[in-house]
Amino acid sequence: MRHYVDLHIRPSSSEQALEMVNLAHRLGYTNVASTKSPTGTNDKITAVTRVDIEARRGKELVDDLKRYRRRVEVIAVRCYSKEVARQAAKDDRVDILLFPDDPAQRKHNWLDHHEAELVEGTGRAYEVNASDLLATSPTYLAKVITQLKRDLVVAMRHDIPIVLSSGAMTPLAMREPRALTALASLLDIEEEYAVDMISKVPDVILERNRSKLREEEP
Amino acid sequence: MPVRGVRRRYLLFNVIGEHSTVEKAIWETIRDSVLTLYGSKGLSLVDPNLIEYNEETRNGIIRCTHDTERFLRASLASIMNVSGSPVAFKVQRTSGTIKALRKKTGIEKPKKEVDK
Repeated sequence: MRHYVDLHIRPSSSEQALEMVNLAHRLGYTNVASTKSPTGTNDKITAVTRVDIEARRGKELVDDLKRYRRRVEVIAVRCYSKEVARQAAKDDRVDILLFPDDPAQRKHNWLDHHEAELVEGTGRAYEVNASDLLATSPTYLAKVITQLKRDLVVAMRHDIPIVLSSGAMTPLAMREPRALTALASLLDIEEEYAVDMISKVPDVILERNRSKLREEEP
Repeated sequence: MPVRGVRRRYLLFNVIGEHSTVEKAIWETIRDSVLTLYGSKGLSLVDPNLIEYNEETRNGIIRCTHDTERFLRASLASIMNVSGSPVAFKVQRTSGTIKALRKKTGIEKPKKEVDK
């Protein structure tokens, strides 16, 4: 039986984090990565700590990585500039590369071939947030789909692992695993591949980081 | 030899949200979502049809063509609100026949209202 992982929820408070972790369990996930630590625990699901670093400069990113790497299980870097994107692509402490949600900002920052060459073979993953596909305006959605598909072509050509997450900021934005894989059809991703994106690929990232953290424990 | 018509899939869904919504609004939202994501041709291919919606339990059954189930799931997943109130659609079960879906989920066929 497959284990599903939602590697990205973004609750606004610790109370909401617990509510979303509980909901993730009811939706069928076995692991969930939250940017806020939940106030309580749920024995039936593993809540993983995650940080989304939003650095403006390469130096700032390096400082943040130094601060967080031993404290959280998953580190994602939102690449708002080429400088940060290149630094994140080269740094082994980074697990996931994220690009801006806003299509206007994404116009200047995307997964280009130079970036992909740096990431290739490192195990760092490119993340697609399903929340980006829940746009209300059809024209906005069309822009998002075009830009994501452009990135996915590059990622697949360079064998970069791709993670599919909900990116949910509220409980109502969370979706069951099959709904996420269905949304991936908007990006022309085959179902089997999409299922791997919410199970095998994030599982590998979690396992790798857990073993690293275990090694570092005194 | 008997020839079977179009094969269908039946999806049982539940609407999660604070406010209750009427069947008409649910149907229009689903139809518009398919239309937004896949266009007119996609809508004709998916051929969605809301079989029933219970406003009390917020469970509904919707039908689509057999090979477009994934499109309908994506359309349901992309719905964020109905008539302005925030909601989420959760597909609970699917089946090839409505009879089997009712049997698996224990949902009874709604009784027809008889005019007196």
